[in-house]
Amino acid sequence: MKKYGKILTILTFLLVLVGCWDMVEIDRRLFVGIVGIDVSDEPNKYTFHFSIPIAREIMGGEGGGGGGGVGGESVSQITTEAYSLIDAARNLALRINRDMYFEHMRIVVISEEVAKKGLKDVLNPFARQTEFNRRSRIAICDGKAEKVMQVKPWAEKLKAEYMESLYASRVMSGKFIQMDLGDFFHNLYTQNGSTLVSKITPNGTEVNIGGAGVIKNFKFIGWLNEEETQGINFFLGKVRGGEIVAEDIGGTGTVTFTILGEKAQLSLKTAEPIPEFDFKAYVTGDIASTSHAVTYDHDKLGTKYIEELEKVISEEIKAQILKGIKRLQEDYRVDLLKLNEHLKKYRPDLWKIYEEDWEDIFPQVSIEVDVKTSIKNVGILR
Amino acid sequence: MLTNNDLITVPQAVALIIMTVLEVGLLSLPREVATYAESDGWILVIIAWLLAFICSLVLSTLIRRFPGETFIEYSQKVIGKFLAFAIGVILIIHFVLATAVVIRTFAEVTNAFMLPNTPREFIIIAQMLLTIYLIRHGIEPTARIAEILFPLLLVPIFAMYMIALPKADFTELLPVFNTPIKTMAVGSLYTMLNFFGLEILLILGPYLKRPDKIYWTMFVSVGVIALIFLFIVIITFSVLGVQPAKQFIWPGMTIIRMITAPGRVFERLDALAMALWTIASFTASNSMYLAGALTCFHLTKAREFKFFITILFPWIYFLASLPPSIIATEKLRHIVRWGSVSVGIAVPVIVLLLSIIMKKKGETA
Amino acid sequence: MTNIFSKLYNNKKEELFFERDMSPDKSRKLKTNIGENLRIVNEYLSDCDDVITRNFYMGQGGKHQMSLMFIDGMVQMQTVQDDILKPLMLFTRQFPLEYNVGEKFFNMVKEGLLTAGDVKEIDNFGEVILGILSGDTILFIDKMEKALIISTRGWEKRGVQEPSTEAVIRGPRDGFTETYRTNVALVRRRLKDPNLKVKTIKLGRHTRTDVGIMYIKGVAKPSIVDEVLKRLNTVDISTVLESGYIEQMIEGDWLSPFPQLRRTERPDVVAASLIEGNVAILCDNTPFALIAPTTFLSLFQSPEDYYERWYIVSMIRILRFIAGFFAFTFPALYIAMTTFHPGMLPTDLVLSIAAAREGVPFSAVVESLIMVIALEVLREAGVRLPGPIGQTIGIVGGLVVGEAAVRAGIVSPIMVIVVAVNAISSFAIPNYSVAIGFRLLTFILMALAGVAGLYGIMLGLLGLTIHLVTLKSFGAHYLSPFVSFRFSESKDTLIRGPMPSMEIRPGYTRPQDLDRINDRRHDTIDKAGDESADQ
Repeated sequence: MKKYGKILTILTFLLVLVGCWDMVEIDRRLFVGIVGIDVSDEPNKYTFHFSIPIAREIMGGEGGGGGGGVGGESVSQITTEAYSLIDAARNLALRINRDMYFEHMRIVVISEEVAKKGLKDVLNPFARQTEFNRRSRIAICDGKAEKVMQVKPWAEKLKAEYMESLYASRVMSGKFIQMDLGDFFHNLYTQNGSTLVSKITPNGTEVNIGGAGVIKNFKFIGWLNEEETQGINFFLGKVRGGEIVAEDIGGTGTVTFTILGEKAQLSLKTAEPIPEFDFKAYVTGDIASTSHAVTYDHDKLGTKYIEELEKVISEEIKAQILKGIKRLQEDYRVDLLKLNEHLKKYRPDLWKIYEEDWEDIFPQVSIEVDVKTSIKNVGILR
Repeated sequence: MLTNNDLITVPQAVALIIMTVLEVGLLSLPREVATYAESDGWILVIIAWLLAFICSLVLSTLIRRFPGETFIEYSQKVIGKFLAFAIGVILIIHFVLATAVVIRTFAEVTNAFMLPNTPREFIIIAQMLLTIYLIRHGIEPTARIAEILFPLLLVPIFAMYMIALPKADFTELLPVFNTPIKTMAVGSLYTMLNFFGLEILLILGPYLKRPDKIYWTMFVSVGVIALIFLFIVIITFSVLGVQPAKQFIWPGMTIIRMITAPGRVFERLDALAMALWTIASFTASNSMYLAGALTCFHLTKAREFKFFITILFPWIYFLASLPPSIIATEKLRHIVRWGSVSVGIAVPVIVLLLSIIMKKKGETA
Repeated sequence: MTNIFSKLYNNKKEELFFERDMSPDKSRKLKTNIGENLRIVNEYLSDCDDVITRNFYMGQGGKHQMSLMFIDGMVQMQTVQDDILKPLMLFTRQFPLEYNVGEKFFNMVKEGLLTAGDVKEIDNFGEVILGILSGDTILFIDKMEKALIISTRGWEKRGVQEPSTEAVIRGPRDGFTETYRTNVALVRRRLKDPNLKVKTIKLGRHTRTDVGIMYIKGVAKPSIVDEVLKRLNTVDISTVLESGYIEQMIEGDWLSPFPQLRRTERPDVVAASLIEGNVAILCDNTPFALIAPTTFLSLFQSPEDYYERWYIVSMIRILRFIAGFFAFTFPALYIAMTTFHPGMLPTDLVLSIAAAREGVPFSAVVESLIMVIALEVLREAGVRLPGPIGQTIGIVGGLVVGEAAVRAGIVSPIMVIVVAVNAISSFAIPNYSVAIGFRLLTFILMALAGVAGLYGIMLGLLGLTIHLVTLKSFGAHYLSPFVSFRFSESKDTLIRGPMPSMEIRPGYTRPQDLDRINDRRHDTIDKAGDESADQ
């Protein structure tokens, strides 16, 4: 009977404690989808934008009411000025009766100006606090972050989902930077605050995610265009899809090559006085369209055509890679090719020598680029 | 003494030891080894394994030498009554502290990842009540629980880290052997501290059903622990990178926050991982608490050990709520680990050596 | 109540004692005078209008009186008339007048005249009364200090029908009935083994119900048989109307939500359990037999598991375990996920739940409490009402009330799904009473989830694990074979291995004869005895 009493006591306690602490009803939360950060007029302050989907609008009214009724905006936006993200969230508590919830955050958009001022303090909460989604994307936008937030995608109801799924697409994977917050911090920590970061460009009803931003020492220093981005992605062995368009043999038109996969190989050729690297990329893919007929016959012409095509495409890829390298070495002088990492991992002895003034050595490093393309398939057309 | 039923079988002993030791290193080990030896961290784990193995050999030899006798009993024979009593008291303090630290760390992590506003006291008390409910049933049920929960904990953890595997970049483990020998030596000593928990065997020795298989038991448990540690360190390094592993207090959890369940059934698994970690923390605090109560029982030669469970309760609660911050908790944890080394290695070594010199043996050995 | 009854009972002047094991008091011997005997019996059975006394006289002059006593409705009148009255009345008349009543005559009646099957001599009132009450017929003969008890039991009874609570698709259709002997025979028919033992005792001070313990000697562990007998013998209860009375009296931990004896309506289940070394307890007046010891796993087993092919069975078993898990965790998980950790759910799902909950006045905990309680009420109502109406209640309750509640915005549609999944899951557990027990746990887990989310659920599950791990059913671990696990036993746990591979019997009963399929593995017997012999 004593045992009985104990059980009853514990159960009573439980009933009293229900909903005491961390319980927040799901409809009392606001699920922030996009966080946008702009500079503010006040020094040290930022303008924070939060894009929040309104659940009942998104799911549509029940019955015949129709979704586009009064104020049928499915996503609403809140703006506030604050010193930090946490500060902003707390500020908003004065204005909004629901809890801001960041676990479903899909993308963090940082304006160019903010990024130029430095990212260390702005982004720290994302790394430090556990309430932020680490698999959210991060992008620097061309212009004001607010512009991105105001984009009204015509195909999707949710802006955040729309932007996130853009990044998740594999088709164009060479021309943008595929990274989430976790990767972003990983790069920052391992590369002394330098990394490539996704770029986002608002355009009325759409955004464009092509290109990349260059961050050096936690500060934004410039853009890379789509081709250069693809070149660097090739160099890092990250290209898994996308198209290469080159001039067809004989100048009869263009040939489109669909990339299936890539293998990159970096090796140190000579170390003294300035390291020289040897880079090899093996790209496989299909022919999507040509201006010629392709034949499987054993006549020389067909085989030769493919071989020549491979060469043309290799040259095109090589050109892209070189463009990327040149931009990084000459304009930005920042090693985002992970050459330093390569040295550190494979030649820790050498790295000790170079470590001090790698920033000066990197622009002078010469890299020999060699690309081999192999065409796997030409489609079902002869 | 206790009834004859209250004996631990070999698989139960293995599960109990593994679960006790595992809790401690599971989340923070990658950070520690990364701090000591960067990418050579996994080598530290292997060296620490060897050290822990030697330590377990000493413990096993003691248990083989005095089968069926409690540590207090045979240390009285070897080093005299007064010293043995003193050591007993130190052991009790150590186990009480260890329980407190395990529970407090758990409350801390729970607050950080799962329930930010729930008072720490609630978590501590709930966890302690659960532990008491179990260990009041005796020694064998405690071991049985460890045996049952063992696969329930390991399989999901293994699965979760496996999900992270596609993100892994194994070149992060390079360069190899790039750390000075001295740093390595110091580092592996510190890493060895992650094997703390082995000393519960000093107390549980007489309750083993097959003391003749103690070497095997220890070999398997220490080996499995080391393999799990190695697995976790390698995955953490290759997925997270060595530098970030240093930055996060609990890199293990950070990895789990980075993954999503296949098929997107769950957006994120951290709450689930926390729930699993409840199991690990629970088993660890069980065996520590039990060992503390049993030491009291051996020391006082009382009739019933359950009485001491109640006596220790306020002390553990007090110590668990003592550290004002998470940093203080980590400091306390460090102290406990050193305590563990002294009572887990130094004391047994001395007792063993003296017993060999004085040619003292258990009656049946 | 019990007190009043026993007082009434004890008010008689001359008491008849019944021992603890319900054997009758044999101290009051029969008298020589038949009138005296009848008077005494009638004293005991006064005001029992259903007791019939038939007096007749033997010898040509009708000098010596004989009497039959029995209870109307509990005897087969056919037997009484054809096998007792007819021979006695026809033949004794032809004896010569001077024929003396004596030992010789008594034996002649017993051995030569009565054509009934089972005839025994008795010499005390205790057995007389018990015999009459059990449906036997007593024959008193004048001038004899003995009487004859003739087995004429027979009453209106239900035939062997298909069990309603444990229906199978493949397998025998016969189920136990309310008659003890029929039930024993149903089992005996399946096990034509001289080692199948049946021990009958009587339980219940008022009911004196026949309770039988069945086991196979040489297979069942003697200590378990002894334990069952010991516990049964300590039962001191006034009424045993159903085996549930016994179950609750002899189970070890009455606070546990899990039954420590398995109940079944099926003789094939009993037979199979007996072969696995269990002990079965059969009880008169109920079709439900009890099996001890029981394990957690066996509550998830259906007899069909052994009749179907093993792939199918394994899949179904795994489904049952998943269902079993959801049966007590699903509403709690819903509460934890939506109110504590919405980060765990996919964004679209979170938004749709949030949209659905918009405007619901109650918190998720209260909402699910309302729904779960409503569902329990519906279930109970459906069970109590007669068949067709019960179904109507199900439809009206489930569809109309649920739909209306959602329309009215009292509960969210997601909640309806959650509760429905919870309820359906609980009915996938083959054992109905376990299913109800699980639903009880639902409430506790819901409260825990309301306090601390997933951590609370985890606390509950760990507590439950501790309880299950330390729970024992007649000396066998409830969680067996997961505690002190042996690989050879794993083939009949979460899955069921192919029949030829299941070589040994489960170890939790620690049967003496371990082999199930063939005799190859005699060496394992000793080993099994060694390991964890902690009973």
